[in-house]
Amino acid sequence: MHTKTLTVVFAGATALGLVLTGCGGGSGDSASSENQDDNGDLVVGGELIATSDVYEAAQEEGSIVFYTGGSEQSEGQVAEAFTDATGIDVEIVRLPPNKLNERILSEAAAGKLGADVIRTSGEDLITGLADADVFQPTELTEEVSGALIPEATYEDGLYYNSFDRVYSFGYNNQLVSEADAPQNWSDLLDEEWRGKSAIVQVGAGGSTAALTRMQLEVLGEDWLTDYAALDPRIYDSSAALTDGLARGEVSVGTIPIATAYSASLEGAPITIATPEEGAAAYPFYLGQSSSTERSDAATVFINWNMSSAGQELAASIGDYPVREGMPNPTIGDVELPAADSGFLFRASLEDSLEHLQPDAELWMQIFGYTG
Amino acid sequence: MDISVDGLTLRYGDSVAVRELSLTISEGESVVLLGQSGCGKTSTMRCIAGLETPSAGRIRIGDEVLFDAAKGVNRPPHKRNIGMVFQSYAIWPHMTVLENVAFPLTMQRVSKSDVKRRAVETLELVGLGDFADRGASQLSGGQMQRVALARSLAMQPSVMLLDEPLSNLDARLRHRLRGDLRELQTRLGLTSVYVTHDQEEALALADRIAMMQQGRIVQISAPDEIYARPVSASVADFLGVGNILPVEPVDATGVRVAGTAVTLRVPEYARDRELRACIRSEDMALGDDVAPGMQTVEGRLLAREFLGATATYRIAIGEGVELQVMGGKHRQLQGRPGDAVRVGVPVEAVQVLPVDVVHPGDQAPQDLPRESHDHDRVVA
Amino acid sequence: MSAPTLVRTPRGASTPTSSRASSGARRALLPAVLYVLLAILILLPVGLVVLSAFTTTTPRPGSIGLSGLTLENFRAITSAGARQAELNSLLVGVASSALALAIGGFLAFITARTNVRGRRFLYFVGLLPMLLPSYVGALAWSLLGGPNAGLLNILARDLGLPAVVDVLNAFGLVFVLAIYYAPYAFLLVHASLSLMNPDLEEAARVHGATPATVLRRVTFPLTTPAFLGAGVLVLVLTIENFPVAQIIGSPGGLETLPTYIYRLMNAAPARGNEAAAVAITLVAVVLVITVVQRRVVSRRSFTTVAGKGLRLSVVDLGWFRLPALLLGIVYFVLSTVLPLLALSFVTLHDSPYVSSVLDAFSAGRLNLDAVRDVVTSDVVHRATVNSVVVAVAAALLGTLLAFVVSYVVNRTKLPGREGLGYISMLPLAVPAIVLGLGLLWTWLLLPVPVYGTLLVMVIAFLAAQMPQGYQGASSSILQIHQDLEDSAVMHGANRVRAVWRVTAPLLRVPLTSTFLLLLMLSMRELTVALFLFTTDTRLLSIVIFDDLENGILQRSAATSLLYCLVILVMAYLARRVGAEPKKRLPRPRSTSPTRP
Repeated sequence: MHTKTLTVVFAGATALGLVLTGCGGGSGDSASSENQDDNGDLVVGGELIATSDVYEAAQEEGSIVFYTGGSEQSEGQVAEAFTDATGIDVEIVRLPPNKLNERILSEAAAGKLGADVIRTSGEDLITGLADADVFQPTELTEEVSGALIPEATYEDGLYYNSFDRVYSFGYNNQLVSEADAPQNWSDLLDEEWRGKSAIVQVGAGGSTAALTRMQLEVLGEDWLTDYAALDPRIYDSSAALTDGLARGEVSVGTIPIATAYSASLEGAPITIATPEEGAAAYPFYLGQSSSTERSDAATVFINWNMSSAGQELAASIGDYPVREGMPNPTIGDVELPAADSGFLFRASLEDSLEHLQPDAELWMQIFGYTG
Repeated sequence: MDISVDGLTLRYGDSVAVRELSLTISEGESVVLLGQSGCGKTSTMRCIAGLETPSAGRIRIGDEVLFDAAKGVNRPPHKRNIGMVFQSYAIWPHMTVLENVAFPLTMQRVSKSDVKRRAVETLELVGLGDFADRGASQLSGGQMQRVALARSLAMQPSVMLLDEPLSNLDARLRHRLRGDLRELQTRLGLTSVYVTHDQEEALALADRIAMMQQGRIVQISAPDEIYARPVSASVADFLGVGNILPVEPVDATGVRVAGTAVTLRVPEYARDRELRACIRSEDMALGDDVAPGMQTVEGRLLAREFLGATATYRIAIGEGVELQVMGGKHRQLQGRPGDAVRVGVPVEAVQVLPVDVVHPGDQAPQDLPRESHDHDRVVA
Repeated sequence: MSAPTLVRTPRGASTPTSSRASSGARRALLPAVLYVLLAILILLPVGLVVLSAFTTTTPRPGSIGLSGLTLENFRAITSAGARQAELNSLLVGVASSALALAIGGFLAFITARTNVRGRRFLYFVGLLPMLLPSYVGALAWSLLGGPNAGLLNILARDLGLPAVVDVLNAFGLVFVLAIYYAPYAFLLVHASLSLMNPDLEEAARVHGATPATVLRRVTFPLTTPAFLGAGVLVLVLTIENFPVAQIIGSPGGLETLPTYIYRLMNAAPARGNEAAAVAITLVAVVLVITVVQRRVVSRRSFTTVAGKGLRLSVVDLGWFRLPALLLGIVYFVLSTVLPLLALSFVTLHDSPYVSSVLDAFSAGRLNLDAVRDVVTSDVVHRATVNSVVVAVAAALLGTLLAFVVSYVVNRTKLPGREGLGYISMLPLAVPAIVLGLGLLWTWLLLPVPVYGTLLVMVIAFLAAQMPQGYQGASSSILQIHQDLEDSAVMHGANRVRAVWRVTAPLLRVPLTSTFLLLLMLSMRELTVALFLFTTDTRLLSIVIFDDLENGILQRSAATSLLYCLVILVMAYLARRVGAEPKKRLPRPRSTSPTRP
């Protein structure tokens, strides 16, 4: 009968699936790496990432759980490169920074924090986490720490700024022709974007807070009001906006550069703008959790991220490195302006914290957003 | 109106519910279809109502042909003007009593004022004039039955069908309503067909009783006739004849009770493969009532059952063979179990009958159990 | 021989007064234990939500949050956004339940009472969407019907047609809710139509009503209570629904009360107290509807127990037979076929971003990569195992608890037992998202370390599904006559053994179906678990939802397909295991049919 055939087919499919699982999934235990030198130290690109004792212990641990507020696509690239270099697996748990924050605090309070390493943005969030004793310091090797800019290290290595992500805007290049493409922030106020533009709600995390600060400071409150008047779709997180933009639900939207670029590598038809008014830069903080049982693997991961290899990767997807002597970030063929060229707008920690609440309230008022 | 049913046959898949049944009912007559569950009586009634479609036959009411299998005539039930009282009464709970009774009038597009008037009149006819506005789900069993009756009466049907109308009521109510029903039916001159498994009900309500077995009418006659002269032992059993004894023929007027040495003088009887001697409990005599010259049988008293107005005595007359004899209140038999007694069996009281009237082509019927009281079992 | 005069003293009694006291305490023990259990399961979460609405801090481990009593939070319910959400909830709820009733009622009527072609198939069609969780349906429809990037619109573009559909708005939300809640209406109305006493209709036919009039004046009016009851149930369910509103409504800016609560909880920092205040509003709305239902509907309920006639007459649809089937097929396509096709297409497409539907086939852009990724993914494995383990545990414990509670309520005279029944039914009035909130706070507060384990999920599902379990167990227990058990007691078994050897075996089939119902409900559950899961304890439903929220639609679609498969397999196994083995009935004596 009808149902019987269906169920036989499906039962067969399950069996097939079970067979497939048997042959899939790499394990993460003791893999050797071509980056190991004779001493057993981990050396990547000529830089010492971890000494042999740390590295061997890390390989024993085999994998880390990585909680991140960064985009799934960009972190996916990081994880892949790291595993290639070290043989240690990375399991990504991605949530927008606001939700991530709640999750970490709840789990930590119950003693069940599942993260080994945490990356997130938002000044208030990171200080909140630090105050809640979520982090423990990570020791960087000499070679790694030596080339970092001074601002990259916080509270004696309790956590680090692993890169600055830049919040700009992009458009769907299948829906928007090059002739019509918006180049600068002022172009986004065009009537043709009515009902086709997008923005992320201000409370999503440090990224949106930084963007809002820049928009208010550099573009002025009127810009924001005019943008709101075009009836943009308000997304809960940049991940959702990226997807919406890629699938063509909206034509233009504010979007972090690296997020958009990583998505475009997977086929998303998004072109990123480098507006002349500049873009907002915000740090992504990185630290290992105080309750981790895989401290060595976590240490290797953080070292790698802060090393030339990790920083070069960051630059290659449009994030700004925190290491001296690194190339300017690129997105494909396009090279982004240098860090000191005035393109980046970065608020100081105190400024950020001071304006956080009032900016958010103003934003919600302008956009009629009640959440 | 009179009803004529010819050669009615109703099949359900492989089984046959009604077999070539023919029946004529005169105007104003009340016929009761009587039989066990499964004998086809309700099926026959539903065919007449139009709720079942027979496989063959013809149904005519008055001059109109309602159904003719050969000619492809099949008038739908709502156009037959036949009233029907269901065993469950089928009173619509979401309407008032008046709305229930007025329903057929509303269907007939009678004017609103007339509808109300006639419905109220009919309600008063059944004694429920004050109940008009009551919700139909708030009635007692007896009241519901009367509403069901009124509903059918209101449409002035040519024929009334009643399917076990009294079986859902308790004994006292049943007796009372039975009398009311009969009185109403004769007063209004309604052509009626009843279905029941209760022989007492049948005897009280019928002008003629049609005894049905396995989809056929095996006997149809007036109540006293069918009571006095059942055509087979199974019919006799159904009608409450207390003694059905397997007998073997001895000669033209004599039989021997099987399993005993007792022989009986009986009126002339027709030979058949299996014979039973049917004797009513109240037709035999005990003690002082045994008239001189009356045929007697010797036996031993087994038990006495006191029933108030009567008493029933069980008397063994052979190995495993008993007679049930009824004695009246005024003539109690003295004696204890084990005593020898003499039972008077008048010759005319014994009817020697075949077990069943077998129709050629039917399966041979099963043997009847000796003390079957199937007709008393309530039909599910 | 002398008449027996031996008098046995009752077991366990010493002196009359002490026996009364100790037996009184003993009698109260079982209800007391049950009260404590149910209080922790159900009353505590609800209480914490109520409490949080009146305080300024939400419960976190270590802080009970009793400080700062205030009414400030209720400002949240009068804000413009909240009022809009309330309005939206009501409008969407009423519209979608009306539509669901129309669909379900129509299908129920044609399958139960007419000679429509393909009746068995249509019955299956009416039930099938119940196997598809509403959020999977919503995901599929958001893939299908997005105004610019929906698959249907892309296909239209391929064919040179203008865009055909936009589902990300109020109409779309009403539509998706209606097609996935129609099965509830279908089941209830179908049952009512099938159980009607056929005599009532035959009486109408005999007394002059044409078949159409019979329907109009008898059949439909008698179904009205079931119809209204179904309508109210669906209304409550659609107002409470979170996933569909989040997936279909939110992108269009359409906020309902559940999504508003969710947004408040996801703000940084979480605005739990305001969420609690809004939650109470939602509960109040649901309570009002339930009370209205009790008053209006119950008054008009008619018991229509089957009478002597065994077969309900079948309405001849005439020329409408085929069109009716076609309508049923349209529903089937919309509720099941299109969504599954969409999920499959997105899964098989090589890139998460689809620019053309037709090209995908011609240019060979379909492959099994996404399927392979999902099937080999550790996260998915763990989630599947978690889902199954939690579902089985919750269903087992839930059935057991429901049985014990309903036995105490219905079969004993123990003190205080009616209250147990009320508490068991309470979660019906509490929307899943509110219950989830309360459960989070409860298990963060209680010193039992279950937060972050699968156990807390089991507990949450137990609480959320108590009403269904209790109702199922109660109706079965009530069907078993007390005498059966009592006779066992008279013949020497103590009460527990009597229950074990007589009542429980008789309840095997209904208890099994209760177990299976709870199993299905647990497998599909998303909203209750939303605030409770941690990384290691994710369920399949949550993995799907997470990916959706993070914009990883392809993975979400692939996981959904796997999920549907798992549910289908479980449902099938469940039916095989739970079905009664066919007994050989004794052959009836007479060979004529059942009609006398």
